Amino acid sequence: MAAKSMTIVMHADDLDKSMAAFILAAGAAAKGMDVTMFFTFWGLMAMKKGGADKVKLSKFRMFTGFMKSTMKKHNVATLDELIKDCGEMGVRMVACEMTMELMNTPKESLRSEITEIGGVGTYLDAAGESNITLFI
Amino acid sequence: MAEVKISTVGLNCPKPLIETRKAMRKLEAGDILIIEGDHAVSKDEIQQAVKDTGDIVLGVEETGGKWVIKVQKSG
Repeated sequence: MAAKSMTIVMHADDLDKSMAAFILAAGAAAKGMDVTMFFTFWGLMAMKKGGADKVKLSKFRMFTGFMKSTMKKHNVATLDELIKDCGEMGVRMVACEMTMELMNTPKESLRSEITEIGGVGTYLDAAGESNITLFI
Repeated sequence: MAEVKISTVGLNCPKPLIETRKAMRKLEAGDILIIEGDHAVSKDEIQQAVKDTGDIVLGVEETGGKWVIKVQKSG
């Protein structure tokens, strides 16, 4: 039996970590769970329009292109595709308001899957009701 | 009642699960979804996810690494 609800703080913008987060979010949504993702700092930068195509591996960064082509060969979804899937399955994606201000990132510069802007209280309200909370 | 068929053949984790869920969301209560695939782990994971969302697994067939899962959207 799946848990009822999951909340993820997305702080990193590495390709591997972002993939892990969105695979978890997609899997949870596919199991009917309510999923909230809160994007802060580098995590929010990856959610700028076109950002998902620019992120790099957390290690061996120069081999990012090679990893992407290997993933394609093995029919693994791209990060951009996973984000779209999560949006389509109703994953709630919240942008950190403070990061938007600090990094001069207006709402228009973020991808359309981000439907909400919030602060630490927004995250805590969602996390408080979640069975699973992750910080990535 | 509609009957919809999707293929996840060749797709890797977690796409078969995602495509199943996306298709199920578009169906009405009582509709049937038939999922074809060949990703071994997804065969079990899809069935569990369908149960988790309160829907019904009607049957599973497997032949030579390929599987077909028939599910029904509940009310």
